[in-house]
Amino acid sequence: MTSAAPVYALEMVDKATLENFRRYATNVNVPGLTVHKATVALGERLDGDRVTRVTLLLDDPPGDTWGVSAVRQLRQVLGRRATELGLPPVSLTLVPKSEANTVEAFAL
Amino acid sequence: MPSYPIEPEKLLEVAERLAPAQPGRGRPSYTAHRRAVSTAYYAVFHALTDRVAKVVFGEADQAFRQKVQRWIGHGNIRTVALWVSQLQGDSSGSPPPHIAELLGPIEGAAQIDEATIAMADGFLELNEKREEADYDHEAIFTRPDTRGHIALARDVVSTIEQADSDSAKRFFGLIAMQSKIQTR
Repeated sequence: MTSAAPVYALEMVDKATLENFRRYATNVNVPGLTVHKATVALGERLDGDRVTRVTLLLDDPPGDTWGVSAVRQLRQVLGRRATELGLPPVSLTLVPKSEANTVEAFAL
Repeated sequence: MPSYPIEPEKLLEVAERLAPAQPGRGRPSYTAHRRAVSTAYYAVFHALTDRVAKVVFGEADQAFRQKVQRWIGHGNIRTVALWVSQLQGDSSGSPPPHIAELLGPIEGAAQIDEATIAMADGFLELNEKREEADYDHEAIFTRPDTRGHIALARDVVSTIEQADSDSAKRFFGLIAMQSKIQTR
């Protein structure tokens, strides 16, 4: 028996849904993490499975990185919202303000 | 004869060297960040295959287990981890009904504990990032995000090595059952 994974096509996910998710990601509230901006795009894994690529601009972490449990919570919150909206699984990229210029949409 | 087994802790040390917490003068290139993330993922992958082989072939010697480990593919682990994630509502889709019934019966206790969720979630995250690190020219690996992936890998490896619950053993067992004996 095969898994009942949904088949995603770009045309099945409208721009309004992606914008809805982007706004949610921008306002997501996880202790220890402050989101300033977010970009959301649909992508594809090597095996053809669809993925929702989320890139967040955050305050720089106090140490060398953000807390593992805080980022896990962030990933879970975004993953659950993406599921509710019918979006494929989330892949999260975190960008600190000090490296904002590495992402065109965040460039200062 | 010298032996050089693949050890998760050594892989994590290499990842740390590629993207150190204190980089000193200059900073590692983004290529180094990619290699660090990929290496951190492999620490988790090998820790998992080691545990799976030990759970299934607990009485076998190391040489036997190492050969068996090679039959466990990335996709085998990803499939089982995705079932766990889907049952939590963290990923869209759902496992086949008989798997859903097995892991999350409507009646009776759920067969997934926090450690199993952490292993599944960590594996899926690092598996995705490893693919981006190795193949996606547009992927971005900032310094703190790279350090975060290494920290996550260290956390997941520790959980894999210590997890001893029924739930964790079922997770390892299902991965073994997804794997296929290679004829050659």
